[in-house]
Amino acid sequence: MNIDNLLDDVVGPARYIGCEHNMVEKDPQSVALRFALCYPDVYEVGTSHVGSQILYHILNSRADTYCERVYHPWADAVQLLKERNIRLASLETGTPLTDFHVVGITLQHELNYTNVLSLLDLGGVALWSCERTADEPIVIGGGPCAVNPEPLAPFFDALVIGDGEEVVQEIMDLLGRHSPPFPDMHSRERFLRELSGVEGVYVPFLWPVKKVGRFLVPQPPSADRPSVRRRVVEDLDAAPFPTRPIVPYRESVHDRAQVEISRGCTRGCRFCQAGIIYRHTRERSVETLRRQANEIIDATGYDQISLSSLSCTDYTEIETLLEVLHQDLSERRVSIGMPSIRADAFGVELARRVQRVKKSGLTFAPEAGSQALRDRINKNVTEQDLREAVEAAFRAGWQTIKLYFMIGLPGETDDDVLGIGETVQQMLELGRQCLGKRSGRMQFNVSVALLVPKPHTPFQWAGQDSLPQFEYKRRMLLQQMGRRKQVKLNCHDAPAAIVEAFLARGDRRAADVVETAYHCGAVLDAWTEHFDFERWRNAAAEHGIDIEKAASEEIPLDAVLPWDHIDVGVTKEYLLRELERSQKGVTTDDCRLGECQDCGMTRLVGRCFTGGDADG
Amino acid sequence: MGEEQRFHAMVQYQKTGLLRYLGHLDLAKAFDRAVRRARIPVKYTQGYSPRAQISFPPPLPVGVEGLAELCAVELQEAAEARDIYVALAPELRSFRIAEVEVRRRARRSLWTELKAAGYQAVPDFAEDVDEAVMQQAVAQLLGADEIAVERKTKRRTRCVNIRPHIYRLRAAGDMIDMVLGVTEETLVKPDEVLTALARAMGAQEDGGWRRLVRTGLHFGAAQ
Repeated sequence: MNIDNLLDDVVGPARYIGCEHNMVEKDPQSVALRFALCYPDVYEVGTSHVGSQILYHILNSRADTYCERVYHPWADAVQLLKERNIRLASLETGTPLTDFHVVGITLQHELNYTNVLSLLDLGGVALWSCERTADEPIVIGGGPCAVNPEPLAPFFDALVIGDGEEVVQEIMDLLGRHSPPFPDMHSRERFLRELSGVEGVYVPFLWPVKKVGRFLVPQPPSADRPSVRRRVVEDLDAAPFPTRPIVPYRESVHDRAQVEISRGCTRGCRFCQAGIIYRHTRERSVETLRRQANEIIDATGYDQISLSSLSCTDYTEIETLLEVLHQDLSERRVSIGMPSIRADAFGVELARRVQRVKKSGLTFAPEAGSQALRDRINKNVTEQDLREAVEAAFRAGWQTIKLYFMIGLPGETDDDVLGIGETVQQMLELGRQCLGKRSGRMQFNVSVALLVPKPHTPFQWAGQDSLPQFEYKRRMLLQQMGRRKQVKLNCHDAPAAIVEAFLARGDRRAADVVETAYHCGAVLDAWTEHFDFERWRNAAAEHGIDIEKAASEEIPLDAVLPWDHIDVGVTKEYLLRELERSQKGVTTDDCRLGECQDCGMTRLVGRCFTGGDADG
Repeated sequence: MGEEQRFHAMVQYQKTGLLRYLGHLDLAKAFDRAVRRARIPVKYTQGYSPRAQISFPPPLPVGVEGLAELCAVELQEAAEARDIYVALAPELRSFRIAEVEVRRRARRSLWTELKAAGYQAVPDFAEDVDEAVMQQAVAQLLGADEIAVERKTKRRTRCVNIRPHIYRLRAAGDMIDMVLGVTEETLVKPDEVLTALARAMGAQEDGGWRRLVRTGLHFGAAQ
């Protein structure tokens, strides 16, 4: 970054120095295309993101492209950049954003939306796509939040829906043929029109919005392309994965090596957006993962490797995989971590086997406090499973157990909420039986999140709990568990969840709110010390929107939705069926085990994981 | 009772340029990873969380450069310094490893013989004062029997005489050259000397620096 003289005056200057191990160095003069890969949060968060590492690797494997990284600076550095009139620049060469051909920004989290504007602003790039001049960078978004692109649509020249591995190549090939910088607006627009022809690319300016019912709904540019279809990489084994990832200097949120063992999840939890928008489930082979894991440790020197997946224990050959990785890596004092283990005895047994080197806490996610509610959300974990899991964990020597729950689920009653405390109480008693005299050290960290209804899920129509409802439920939980010595209760912040829900399901009017909030100082909102609900409430009110009402209002099932034009693969009919089953308290089988639920994915891909058969 | 043989690879490196902004914990982590990449036969601690046995002298504060910094990697067995250099240097390219020396020694801390550190500073006040004035201030400090500085800890403030542990002090151009004590008993911070200099020239503010470089670490008798 070109802020050398700022570094003496900021907290954590190591965030801004670059020159990490495995950073790619190229001569900018030697390439035709320059890509600024931006993460709209600080270095420690951005460096943990595997997707960005994948794109960095793919883009830099191209001889015609130099991809450099830009992270959002911390608040003190933001202020200094503004005061001293210095433009935000890349870590690799200190090039300001305006000098790149493409600015790519990943959208992982709604509370990062104002950071997107902040990044562009600090980099000297016009915020609105329609205000950019011919020679300004093409601003492209992507990532999970792009499945409802509308709240940010006017700020992006294009958004990519789905897996980035292949489409990023197609975009760069196309851009290369147009040899930027563009001499005039006409050639810039011609490029964007061609770009909209690439499958999976959404070019918002070609989709004017029309008020349909309560929403502004994007209208297709032509009748023959009524939707933008999500990109899906079919063969993960063949997909590129960086085995020389950058090793950040400053400790990152996930400060370890990561291999992506699978993408997608077959469980079908009804609140989970990832479970829908990463369908179908694909796995990398044990051989590929073994090779990648060894190469990554060779190239990084990490002492821990994490198996990244939405549901590790569901990986078909998980036992074999753990065995070979353990064989190869334990001698080098490399431990293996699983971010998500199934809440049953099998999950614990696997965790026990991998944690031979280090023992951290163990995490289970029952999500709801009663069987009835777990059935409604299709979280197929029984109380028996959970008991077995916790018992196995204590017997295997763990003393700290994390439990994840959610409140605000559709159909939730007070008894369901109280069920959370009751479940924890049962686990405490179980722990006392298992541990006997040693039970004094037992600790339960109970984390309670608030449901944020997400687009493309069966709960997308649901109204979120209101602020008073959340407060009422939180007080119930505090009364139940707040004073227990061996229980640490962490209840998520309701106002932040409300803003998330508003942005997740917003239409193009939400873009005005994002801009107003940004201009009123909203930035780094994912950090509680920076989040200010009043600011968001006021910003929305300025545009005639009641943010709390927007979040808590139920959406009629027959409404045309602002994200209906994004075809993620799963159909609205399937989501409706799942919602109906939820209301009846009927569960749906894991697609690995049961019949095909006809979710719509087979329209996009040839093969799917159904009926316990990879070829089903 | 025979003393156990221990082997340490003493690695001399630089922490210059932007790397001066790297905190000590981040630096230690970077070395731990480099050692694993280089497949150096490093010794690990026992227990649930085995750690590679890599030790450092008193860390450089963030923002201070080091021209000849040291790090000790404890080895499982005797090894050729040359082999370790060849394996490790490319893994720590930004740290420009100058040399590796393998030391064989008894069960005692490696750093007990570290006595002093050399520094070069460009003080904040360098531009505002005449070189002759600076020379005079240096002479005044060197001629004093006592230079009292206040050190604050959480609980109390203590007055310390730093003069005995200023082993060298020179002004040349806009640069101050110093060799100062670094042991627990003899520690003198460069900032303390610069403040004393500023005071000797009649300034009220503390003496800061625009650039500070630790030029070397001195073992045995202070030079």
